[in-house]
Amino acid sequence: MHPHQPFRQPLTRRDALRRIGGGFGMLAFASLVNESIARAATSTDGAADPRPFDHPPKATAVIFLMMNGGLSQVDSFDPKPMLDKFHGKPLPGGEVPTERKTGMLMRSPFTFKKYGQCGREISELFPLLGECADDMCFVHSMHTDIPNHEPSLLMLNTGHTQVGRPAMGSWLTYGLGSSNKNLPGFVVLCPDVPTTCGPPLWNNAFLPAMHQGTYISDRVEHQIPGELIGKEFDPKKLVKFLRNDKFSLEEQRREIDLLVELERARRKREALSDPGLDAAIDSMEIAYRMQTEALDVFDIRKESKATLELYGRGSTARGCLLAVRLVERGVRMVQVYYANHDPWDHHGDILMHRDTARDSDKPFAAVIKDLKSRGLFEKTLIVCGSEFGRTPVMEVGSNGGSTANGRDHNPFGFTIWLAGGGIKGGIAHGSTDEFGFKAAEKPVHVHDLHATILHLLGIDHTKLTYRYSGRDFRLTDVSGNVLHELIA
Amino acid sequence: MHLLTTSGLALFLLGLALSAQDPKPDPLAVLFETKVRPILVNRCEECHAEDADGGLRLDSREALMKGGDSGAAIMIGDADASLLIQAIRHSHPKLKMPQKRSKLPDDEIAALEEWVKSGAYWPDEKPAASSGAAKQRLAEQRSFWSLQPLSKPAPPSVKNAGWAISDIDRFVLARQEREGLSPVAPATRVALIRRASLDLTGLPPTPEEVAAFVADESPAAFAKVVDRLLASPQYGEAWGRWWLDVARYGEDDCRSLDPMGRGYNPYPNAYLYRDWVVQAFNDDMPYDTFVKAQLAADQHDEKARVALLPGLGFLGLGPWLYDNGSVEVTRADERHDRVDAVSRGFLGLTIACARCHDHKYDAVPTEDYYALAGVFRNTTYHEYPRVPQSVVDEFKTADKRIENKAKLLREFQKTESRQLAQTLALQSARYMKAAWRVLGEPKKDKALVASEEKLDYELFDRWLAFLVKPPKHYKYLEKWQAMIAARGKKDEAAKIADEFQEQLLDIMFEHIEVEEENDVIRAKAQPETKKKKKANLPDEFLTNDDFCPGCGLELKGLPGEKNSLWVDMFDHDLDSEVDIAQGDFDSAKPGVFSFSGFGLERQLGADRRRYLEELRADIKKLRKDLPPKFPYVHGVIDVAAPTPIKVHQRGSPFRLGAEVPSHFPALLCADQPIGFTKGSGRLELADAIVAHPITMRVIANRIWKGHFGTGIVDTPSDFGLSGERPMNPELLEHLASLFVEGGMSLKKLHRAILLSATYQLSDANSEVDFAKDSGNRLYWRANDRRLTAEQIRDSALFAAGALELKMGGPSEKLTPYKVRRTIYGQVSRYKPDEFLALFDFPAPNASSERRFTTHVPLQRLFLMNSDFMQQCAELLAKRVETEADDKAKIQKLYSLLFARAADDDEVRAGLAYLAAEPMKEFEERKAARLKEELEAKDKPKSKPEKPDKKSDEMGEDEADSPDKESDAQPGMMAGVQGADPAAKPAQKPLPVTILGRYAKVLLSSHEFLFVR
Repeated sequence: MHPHQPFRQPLTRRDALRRIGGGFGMLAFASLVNESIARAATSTDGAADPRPFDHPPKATAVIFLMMNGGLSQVDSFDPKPMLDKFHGKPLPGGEVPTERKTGMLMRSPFTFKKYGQCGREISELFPLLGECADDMCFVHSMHTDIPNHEPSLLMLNTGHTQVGRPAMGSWLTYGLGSSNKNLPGFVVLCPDVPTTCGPPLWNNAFLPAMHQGTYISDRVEHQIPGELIGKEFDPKKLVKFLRNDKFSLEEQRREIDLLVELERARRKREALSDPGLDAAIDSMEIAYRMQTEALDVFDIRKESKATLELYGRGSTARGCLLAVRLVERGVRMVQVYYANHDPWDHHGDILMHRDTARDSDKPFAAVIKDLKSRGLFEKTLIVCGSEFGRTPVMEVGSNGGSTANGRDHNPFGFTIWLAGGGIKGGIAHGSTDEFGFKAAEKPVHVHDLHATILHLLGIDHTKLTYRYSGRDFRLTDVSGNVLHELIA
Repeated sequence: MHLLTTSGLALFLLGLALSAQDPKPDPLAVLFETKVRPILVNRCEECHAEDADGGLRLDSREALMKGGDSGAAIMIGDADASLLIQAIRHSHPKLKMPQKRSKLPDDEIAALEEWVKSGAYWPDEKPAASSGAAKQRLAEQRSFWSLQPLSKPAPPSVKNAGWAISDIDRFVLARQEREGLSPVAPATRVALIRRASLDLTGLPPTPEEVAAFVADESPAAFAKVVDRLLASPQYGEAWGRWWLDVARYGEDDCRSLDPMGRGYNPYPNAYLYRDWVVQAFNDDMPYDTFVKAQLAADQHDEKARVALLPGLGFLGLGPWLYDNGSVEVTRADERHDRVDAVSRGFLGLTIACARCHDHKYDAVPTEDYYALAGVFRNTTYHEYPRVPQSVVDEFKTADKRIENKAKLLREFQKTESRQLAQTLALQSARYMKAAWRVLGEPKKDKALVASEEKLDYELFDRWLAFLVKPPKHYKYLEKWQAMIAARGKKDEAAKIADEFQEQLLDIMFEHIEVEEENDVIRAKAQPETKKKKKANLPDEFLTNDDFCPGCGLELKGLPGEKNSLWVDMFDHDLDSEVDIAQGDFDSAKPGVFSFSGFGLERQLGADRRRYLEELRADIKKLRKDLPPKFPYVHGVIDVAAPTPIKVHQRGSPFRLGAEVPSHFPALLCADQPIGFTKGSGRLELADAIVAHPITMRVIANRIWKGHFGTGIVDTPSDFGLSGERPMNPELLEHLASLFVEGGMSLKKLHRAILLSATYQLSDANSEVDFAKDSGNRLYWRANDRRLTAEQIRDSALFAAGALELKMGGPSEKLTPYKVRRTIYGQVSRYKPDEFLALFDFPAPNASSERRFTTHVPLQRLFLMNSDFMQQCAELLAKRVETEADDKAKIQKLYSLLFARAADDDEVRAGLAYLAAEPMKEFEERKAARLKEELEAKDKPKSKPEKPDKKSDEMGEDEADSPDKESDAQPGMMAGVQGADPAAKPAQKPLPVTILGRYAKVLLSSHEFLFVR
């Protein structure tokens, strides 16, 4: 019995109807429900029991690099020469309504260059990532539903545009468990909470509480030029979510020993049979061990200078390195947000992409390179992108002091790249139209991306369901097609 | 599985189904329904149904007689000759059924033999999976158990008659006896009063209450306890909260774009609904009134209306969804929430499943979903003041007056600031020439130059910084910087300065023109002469412009470089060291000429300054005199002109089908659906709900589940086909009837349940029972249950002697040092409380039917490390510190926490722990304590000052909103999870002591955290 399958067999309407008139079979049915409820109440050691794979997995963990705010595809990975030609002219076929008022087509201020054997063109914003082009798979034909941050962030993270569905990471730990019981299975790194939308992006919603994403701040403070770590770095600060400086581990050991002694004595005396008691004792021990293990995994001082240099400086670099270290220890999914608010949201001046890209290019490339050198690349799926893209037309008139050089939100077409476990490197999937506005060839909805991610982790997205409020919910709702063409 | 023979239950249902025509069920029918059909379904149909193995189907008599590849399966009347019988007997040479499974038990084989011999009775029924005949489906399901009129079964006779106290027990026991189960021994009095206290009030009993109950020898001793608990105000808090789960009570929504403040949108008076629910439970409001108030209090007569209005929070508190993407989808999603909460919450039916297609299990066609959605289409958000209109008017007038003056102040400051900037721009050349003396050849000290040239020091400083900026955004400074680099002379500098000023003034005037044009564009965009009111209420956000006023306008702007220079000088410093990676956008430095707040005022003339000061004082006074904002109910009201809804094909609000008049789902109606015609139809809907028996079954089952952990139907919000069937239908019928007869009094139902022998059982195990019913679904013992999040926090505070029992009022963020009951903590949909979530508090986005119990390591970390637990433990330790010695302290702690004496082993373990505090820890702790005490003495008790943005503009010491203030405090996870670095220090943590740590171990024990 798997925790997410309250019913051993899918109940068809035929089955259900058959249970009407005479009441036959209903008790057998009831017992299954009961079994699952009993199970929900006692499955408890912190890591969900691994669910059997629907097919052999290609990857065992996910690193999700989030350029929140909206990366402009035509300025990064999806070059459109037509924009140079038609710069300053109206979009043929008329204006496409997005969030704000937009004007003429606008060429990219960035130059593009071919990289790798695959010859993919990547803009000057991402020169180091360019060196990894042969490992990357670009999905150019992404599209989503609503040109606004919250609904699109929710869609990308939870498969639904409103708050209240479990995050992808929650679905993953729910479906696969975590292979390290001493660490949370789903970790979210961001310098400050809230990002736009905040906790609903990593909430377990109706899944059991253990599947909630654990948010940790990767904020880097007081880093002076030339420094790789920062004087004030202390892993204890990062694991504040696990540790209280007031108490030493020795003292905790004594407390736990006392508690276990009392519990065992009581159980013996009262002949208690409650399996929850064992679970409680287990989770006490795990909790204790988590503190040391977490302290260790967050202690980046244990990395070599070369590794630290590979990632560079700043919180995105810190987040990326921690993501790799966490995945190395068996954490199922780590999500790294670039920063809080919508840092890539450059309505006013697309040149500001330069600042955000400068902090991202190096660490993103480092994730690929570092995973390879640690022998984890083949088993780790990297997903990188934004909740939506940006318009190839310029935004006009918003925010008063505009430089008339920015781009608006664009849910109709954008690029997400993948690499690592199970992904064909050096390819591009789908395309946008000639101006880079709308997904044209092989459009990929966010649901399809989710279906593909689950597929790579050995899960059939139609089978990972959870019964709630009378319905079987899944990450992909009622949609989703696996993109087999991306899979190596 | 052995438990699950179907006899009694099927008989009961058969009785219900047949009672109309035939009081005595046909024995053949009984045999079929109780034995044969379950065997066929459970053992055979997995393979022999639609895509039948061997071509044989077993779902109709005809199919059996027709048989499969091997021929007819049954020879009516001749068991031995029937292939089916041969196969299950394993007497056929080839066919041995069930395949790859163990042989059927003998009694099942015998039953099938008997059935074949007796003519293979099969009730007259149409093939189940016929071609989607909705009518037939409807007719079939109308006879479903949960939709029948309430029956009042006579209490059954039981063997162990002496055990039963009430009829509830007779129903429970009869069911157990049928399965060969017997109840375990009753609970001890100590366990019983703890269970009853936690159950009814969410709090443990005091040692005195326990002692009194243990000593009370009267037969009514427990009844007295129950009555006392039911009469205590804490009952309403415990069970009110229980209802709030069902009502998906949340106090905020998440707005995606909102000019009034993005993201978090609290409902300041949400608590009125919560308090009303608590009071309704304490007043024992009849359930029908309770339901009707929550759906349609506004449509009650004037007398009832006022008291019931807060109940409308069920609908008025949302979730309201905010999206600028698509209003149609958003509104449809809101209606969906209402249909879902109402149908699952009150009716125990998952009608919301029929939004996109007919319900997969239940006979609920899509039209019926929209027939309910139509009710909510014609219902909209409305705020009902809880004070007389005169008070509202008075407040609004005073508030408007403040707003007007504040606006005047803002505009005055804005104008002054703009005029000042323009004046300062006219002095550009003068400042640049002076700057040459500092930056250029003379290399003079800037303070000296400033005073010699009578310059404003701050402005001069800004100029100096501006003039050395790298040419990142514009070329206007190139000449100047080249001149400085080439050690240009005074004349050169003067010439460039004059040129620059002219250029700058050109740009300034150009900007003024552009702004004037933009004003015209903005004015033209207003379709009416009246300025549009900003959207604020949840249902006012209809267009993009409501979310982002002006975003849709095509405004003019200066070309790139000119604009950059303008921004850099008049607005904000483009090179501000804003750390984008840290998302720190608010700290941009002002542009060269941009002065506000004090910087502005010191440049103003005396009369203007006085004007400003007077205006400010005036506002301050008005604000002081302003009466507190009146509370209002977040409710709903019917729209002025109701319009019928159309079916949304496949759930899409863009593919509209036929119009559907609002009505009650056909499944719940005897014949034609009950139509709703008055306004939105909410009141008629409420009436229909409370008139339907399923409503009574659902609430009775919820209450039962609340007391036992499992329900008679353990899918408490799904009494449809995909839900569970009642494990003891007669018991449920009995409870529901009892409830209705008792005037729908919840308290009477609680009382009846608690006074039953069943409720008073111990949690002892019985191996015989356990083997048959490991899930204790037939209630042969009490279930051990972990306390809920609220019970854990409240009980710990209670044990610490710190719990404050003040009731009601606005919610507060839970922190380690707050001492009110958990129900008064904030319930956020946007930012769920981490402590509550950790201990399985349900997400308030949708109606919740049950609390899960998970055991995760982070919970243990909370118990071990949180400031909250430590604080409670230290307070608890203080309660025993006057005891004579460690042993006495231990005994006192056990008495306070567990209402029992510690045994020798426990005392020994405790003493060993207390005695062996490591010296190092002891010294450290002592030192820390001293330090804390010293610091506490030194620290002045004033509020820490914080930079206040508003004060800059408003010139007032106005605090941030209370929400923001409490946001800055560490939450319940302090000590476990990283608190906000900017968080204020904890208010009054007690120093850590060894006795406190020992107390914490006891607070973390199974005995404390579980109810038995």
